[in-house]
Amino acid sequence: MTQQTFASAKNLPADCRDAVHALLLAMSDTKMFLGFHYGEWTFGTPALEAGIAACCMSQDEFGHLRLLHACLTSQFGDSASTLIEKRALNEFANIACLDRPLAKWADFVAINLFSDGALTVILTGLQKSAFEPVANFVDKMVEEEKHHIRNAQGWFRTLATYNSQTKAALEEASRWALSPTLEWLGPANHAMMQTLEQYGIVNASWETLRQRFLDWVGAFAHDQKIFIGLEQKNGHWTPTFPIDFSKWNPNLRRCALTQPDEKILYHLRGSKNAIFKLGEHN
Amino acid sequence: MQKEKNKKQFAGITDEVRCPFCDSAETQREANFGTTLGYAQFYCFHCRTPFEWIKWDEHAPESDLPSFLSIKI
Repeated sequence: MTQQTFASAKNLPADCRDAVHALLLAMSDTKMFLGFHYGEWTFGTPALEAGIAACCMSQDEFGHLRLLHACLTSQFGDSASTLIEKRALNEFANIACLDRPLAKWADFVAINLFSDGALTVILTGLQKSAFEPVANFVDKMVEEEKHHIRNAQGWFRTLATYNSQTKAALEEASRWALSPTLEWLGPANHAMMQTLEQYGIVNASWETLRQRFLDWVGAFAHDQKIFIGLEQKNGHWTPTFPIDFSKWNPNLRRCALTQPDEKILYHLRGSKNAIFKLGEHN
Repeated sequence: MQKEKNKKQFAGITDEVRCPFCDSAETQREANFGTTLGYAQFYCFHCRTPFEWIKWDEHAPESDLPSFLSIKI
């Protein structure tokens, strides 16, 4: 049977439209915060090349953010400036480990692998999406994200094997990043995710996408002898820690009332230079 | 030889990288990243010119990427 496609958001059924809108917002918020952290780590990296890579990934994330904001603007009536400037802190749906400045290099490597990696799994789930405006740009993002994954895996291997200090720091950072990342991926049996699958917005069930992420990071960390809180059962990797989804908010993709640091938004919004923002004082 | 030695240094680049200015194969990788993540920086010993090389995906080992990126939809 041929899958029905949707040329624009106005053709989507109401429940599906809301689900797509919420997912794209959460993806764009996560990319915005990833872009901020990557950009901030242009300096202070253990090697000059790591700084160049961080800066490059920041450019990629902000480029993807522009594409997502363009889609949200044209399809859902949002405005890029409102999405960045006018929302309250508790309205951002980014992965929660990106809420605060990253304390150390191992934290950077952890968000590069887990948070950016989870987002990439979802991007692959949107390839050939029935929602055409997304299907049109997602392949380009996936191609660029391959470089991010190579960078993350390379640094993960390096820290895992360099010495006992870097290994311990990596293990701690990995556990710190994995839990909020799984929280952001959400419960696979939620009505929102089932709607996305039902209308062909994603090309696999949400459980399949979530498991692909777990199987990748579980096996990869295990190969490096880093225990991140996953165990293998019946051929698949599952968390050893509980995640209570009873209060999970599908619009924020968070289980608790957490929010980003105001200082990060201050920098992201360019609030210090507000008087120089063109076209906003007429 | 230096050229041969450096050809294999950078994981993901297994093909001979020729200079875009003089077409010489006497090149050496200088850095894994250039102005973007997708570029590597090279130096040509023949015309003594630095140049950037795009890491085309067909040159990169897919085996180093997670399997979910190879799933045919």
